[in-house]
Amino acid sequence: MATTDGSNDSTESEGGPLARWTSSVIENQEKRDRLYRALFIVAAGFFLVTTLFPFYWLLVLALTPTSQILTGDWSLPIIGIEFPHPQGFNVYAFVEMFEQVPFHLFMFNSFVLAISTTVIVLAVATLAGYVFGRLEFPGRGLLMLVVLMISYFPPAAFLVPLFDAFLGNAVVIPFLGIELFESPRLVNTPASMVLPFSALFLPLAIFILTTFYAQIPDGLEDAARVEGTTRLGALVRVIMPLSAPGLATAAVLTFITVYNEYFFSSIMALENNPENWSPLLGGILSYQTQYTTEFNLMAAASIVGVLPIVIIVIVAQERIVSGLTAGGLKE
Amino acid sequence: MSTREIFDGRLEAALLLAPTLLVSVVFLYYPTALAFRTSLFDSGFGRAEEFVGLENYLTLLGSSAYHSSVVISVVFAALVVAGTIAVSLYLTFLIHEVDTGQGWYLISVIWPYALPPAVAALVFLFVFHPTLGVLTGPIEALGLEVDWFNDGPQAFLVVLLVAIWKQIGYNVIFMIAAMKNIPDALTETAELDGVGRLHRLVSVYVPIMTPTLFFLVIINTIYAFFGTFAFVDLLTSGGPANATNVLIFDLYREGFSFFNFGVASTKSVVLFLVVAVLMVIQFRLTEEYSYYGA
Repeated sequence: MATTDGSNDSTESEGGPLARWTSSVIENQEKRDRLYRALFIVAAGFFLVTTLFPFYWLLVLALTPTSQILTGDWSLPIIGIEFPHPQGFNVYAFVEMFEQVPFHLFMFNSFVLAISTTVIVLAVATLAGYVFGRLEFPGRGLLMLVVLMISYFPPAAFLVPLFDAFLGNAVVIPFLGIELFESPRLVNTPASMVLPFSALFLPLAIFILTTFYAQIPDGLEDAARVEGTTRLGALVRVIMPLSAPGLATAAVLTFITVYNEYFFSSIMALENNPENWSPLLGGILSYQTQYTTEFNLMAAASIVGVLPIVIIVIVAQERIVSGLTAGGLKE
Repeated sequence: MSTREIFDGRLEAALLLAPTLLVSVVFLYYPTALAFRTSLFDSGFGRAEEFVGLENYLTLLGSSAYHSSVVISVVFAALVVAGTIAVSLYLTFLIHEVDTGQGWYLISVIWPYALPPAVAALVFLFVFHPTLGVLTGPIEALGLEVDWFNDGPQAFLVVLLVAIWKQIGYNVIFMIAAMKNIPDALTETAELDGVGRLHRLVSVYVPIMTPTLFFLVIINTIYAFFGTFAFVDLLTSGGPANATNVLIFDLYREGFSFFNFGVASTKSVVLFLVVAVLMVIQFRLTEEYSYYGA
């Protein structure tokens, strides 16, 4: 009996080759590691393909001329493996998408919405984060709860009244019927999206900034105060620069969320026109008309629209990960 | 400790918090109160409001279409939460165990988080499209017919897949952080005791990660109820035969296709209550079972 390490496995290794191999894997740490590594590569490969393949498929569709998309056969015999590939190489789709729909305007809208929301959220959340992270006062816990509970608010709960008010109908006090004022007609303007977004996405930024601000040693702020700055001065000149990573994280996360938002913007922009401040998703949907759907242009537009986000994720991956986890979990 | 003093803190705190409170009250708390009010009215586009009391609620209570919408949403949410947590946990474990190139694995797994939901919906539309989908051929070769434009359960499955796929990245972000915080000593002890890798994940890591996992269950529940609107809207529009008519989409249609603001508000309130009840249950469970360190 050919065993590698003599005495102890004489009983186990009596079976066939499979049983022998199994027992050697169980016995031998090195073999176990090798098997595990192989299994790991298979599993990781499978999941990478599932997360990355859809994006590749988008590219394939974009490069394939429309006429081929509906009739196309997607297999390509490379070394016996069938793999979907572009039918032709129609880079022109990336030009045509701008000719058919003013996609750059939709993207511009998205950027304006995302940037202005981010600025408002950061400004407001900085003050709140300072209060929650560095001040102690009675009722702090309760106030924090009131503010942070918003993140559990279902957007649907306040969408209808908000839409009603933004249509320009009068704002009344609930249950009393006292008319407060005629609201300006805000639908189809950036305000109708930026304002609710700012409120909705505040809690996460407050979470993140509270954690970061709380970690700055008191001594630093005290030193600044002794030098004669006000609280706000100390916040802007000492605490904020020291918490730059936290601010960057909050900014990146807010930007991504607003850039991707669909529910509100699809309702507040009454039509998918760039003049109505419809964001980039409205643009992507514009390739779908009543009679035809330009699948290749839709795919091309999706790629172009997603590019900024892909870049942000690659550049700011660390920030996103550390920020979400720092802000989301403490307390 | 001049920054932690009690006196004068209250006034300054109030001043600095004013913008936050203003924005939250005006755009969130106030409209929510308004929704409660409108739910008691017969209100719609271009007609006078009329107080109807609880009639809207009674209508929903007796509507079998609405009941099925509730059931669909709850089942959908349960599957999204369970599926997302399970897949993400396994993926996180794989990434955690790898030594080289962790950053790239992480990027490729978390990027769907940053993808706009609407684009995710389109991507899956293209992947599973009955005529031009790239996976349609292979699936049909297995003897199954891809017909989710007409087949309710299939449509439900497609929406479910997108919903899970899109949420994995977010979960992995939290799980990887929690897993990295687990002391190496525990891993080493487990290894010395001969605990296998998967067993180590289930019996050592998961119990320690319970706070994170509960947090994610809550976030995923909210996501499943509200964040999946784009998928339903773009992939199935609630159909076929209302098989994917989840509450959020049902409410959207009531309000913005039929312009029944009264009934739509009632549906908002019900949805709000459903989710609130789920939250309370989950928070209770969290308090009871999660491990916050020694």
